[in-house]
Amino acid sequence: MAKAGRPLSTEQTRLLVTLIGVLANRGDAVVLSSLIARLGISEDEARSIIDTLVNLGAISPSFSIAELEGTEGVSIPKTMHSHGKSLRLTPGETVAIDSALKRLGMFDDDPLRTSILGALASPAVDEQDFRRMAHQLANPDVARRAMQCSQALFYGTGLRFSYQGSSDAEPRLRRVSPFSLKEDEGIWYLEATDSETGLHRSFRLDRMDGIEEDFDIEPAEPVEDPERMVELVFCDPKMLELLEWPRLEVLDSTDGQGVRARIPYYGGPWLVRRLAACGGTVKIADADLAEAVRAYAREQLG
Amino acid sequence: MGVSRQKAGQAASSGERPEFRRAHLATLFLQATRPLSTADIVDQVYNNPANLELGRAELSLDSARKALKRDIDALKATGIVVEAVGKSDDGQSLWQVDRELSFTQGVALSEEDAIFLDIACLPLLDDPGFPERDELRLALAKIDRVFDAAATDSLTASARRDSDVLSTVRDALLTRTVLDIAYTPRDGKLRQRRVAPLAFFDLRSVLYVVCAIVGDDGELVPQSERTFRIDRISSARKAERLHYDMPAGFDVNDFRKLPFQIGDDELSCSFLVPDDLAGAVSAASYGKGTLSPAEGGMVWTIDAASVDDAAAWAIAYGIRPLEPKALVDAWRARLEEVLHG
Repeated sequence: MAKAGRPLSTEQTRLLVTLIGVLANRGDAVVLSSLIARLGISEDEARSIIDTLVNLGAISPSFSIAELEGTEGVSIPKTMHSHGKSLRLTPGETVAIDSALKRLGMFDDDPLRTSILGALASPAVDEQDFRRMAHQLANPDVARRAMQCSQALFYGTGLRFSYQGSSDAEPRLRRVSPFSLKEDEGIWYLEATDSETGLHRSFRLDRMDGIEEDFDIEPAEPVEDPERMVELVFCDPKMLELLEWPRLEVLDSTDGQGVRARIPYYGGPWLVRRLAACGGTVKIADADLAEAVRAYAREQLG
Repeated sequence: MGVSRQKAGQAASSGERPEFRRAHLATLFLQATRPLSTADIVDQVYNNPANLELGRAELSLDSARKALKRDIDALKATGIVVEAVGKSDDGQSLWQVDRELSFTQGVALSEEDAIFLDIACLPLLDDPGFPERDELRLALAKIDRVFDAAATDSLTASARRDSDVLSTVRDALLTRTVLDIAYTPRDGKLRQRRVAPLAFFDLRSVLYVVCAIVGDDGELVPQSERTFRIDRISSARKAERLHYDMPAGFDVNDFRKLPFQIGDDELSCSFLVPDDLAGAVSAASYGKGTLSPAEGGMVWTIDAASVDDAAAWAIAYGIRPLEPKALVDAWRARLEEVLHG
């Protein structure tokens, strides 16, 4: 029996129609928890969407929400037909995908971009619209490396690659268990557990080389190295806008008392230079790091 | 379910939401295997017996026709383009989905590659400097039809949503519609502007939009392009009937500035860049400025609005200032502060 359903916003209607189109050719289950996680929506929204799919007849009323291998979801019978086609992207969605690919450093003539936009793009978007997007000057190999890391994330496999971190004199082999990708101002990172130390590490995709799957690594929850986190107080908050601070975590911010934050420090010159750039406006809790910053300043002044 | 706020004559009935009705319409069109007449659609969507049982008022054919046309327009925003394809024997309009405009043409990606692309793009949903997060979320769901695979259950998409201002500016940019904005620059004085949004860029996770000023005649003022921070725009409204063309030769990269370039001044500065840092500096500076070979490395020349900020940037990237003297003095002063507090 149809239910009245929960009111939907216009945004949720687009989401709903997108899901209707996506599910049209599927005859398997939609898992509630995955809807929530992958679409970034609340449980209430997810339930509302499933309710609406039932109300609209997109799901046969003879099916009900069922337990599926311990997770809650609903089984979609193949009652819907859209002639075997998937929905095209709207103009806004087309531009969004193009922006995302540019963010990955993909050039306009990349075969992957050509394939996606050729099949899916809205005809209402022209070359002029694509040219308006600012191009990220990333290493174009980043897109390929991101896809390799995504594959490992999907299949739960380990990775090995050559990598030169900021504190390494030369590249060395790393073996890791990936757990997510991150992006910060156009720099892409693989967050992973280093199999040697068991610690959480961030690896820049543009510094990786020779990425291969490594099936001998067991998935492992990362452990933060507390000794590597240093606390800082930025008395001039402008420094947080002037320079990038990847993985900086703001702890609190009080008018007149500055911004208290912490950031991992793995050795090497990167953080030392940045803190020197703040002049005397940053307080460094770690005495060794503070001395390294002073030593750098002395060296520069000659 | 509450009193409808729609005007008389619109397809309104007590408690019905247009969004719910449009999703129903979408389902109907996607499932249809033949063109649908207006009467078919009215019976199944607008005057569905199940809805009437819930107390919703029956619509006249004329009201339903008007609602249908409005809803067909609204469905375009979801990617479903419905067209009239003729008349039935009794003179009613026949409607069906335009397959070429609505559905994919060919296979974009293998199912596996689609999943990988989806995962690769997930971090952008959490980036405040990415101007199309809401659109990307839906685009990825369309591309990756197994987006809810249990294997990726642990990879969560950010729940961050774009602000109303950003959504309005983005929509205006896409449809090339003039905008009226209320903007507060650094001096703190609120200003009203009529603008034509041309492009977005982001810097340090702050989103900017480059706009041309629109004159009283509705035309773009030549060479009037300016950069506005999205978070300083307190309101934005589209001037629906005013559209514009992109200025010839516009390149957003001309406007993307480094933090030390933001401001009205332009002072030419030069730095000595060690060879091993040239690539990193070029990438961090979006290729701005010029690099030329010199003894000890490369000389990088670039305009700055603030020598103090440029000096800080030089220290952070391990490059030495060469000219002008004010830049070198600012650099030394900042390093002296480190030593002496």
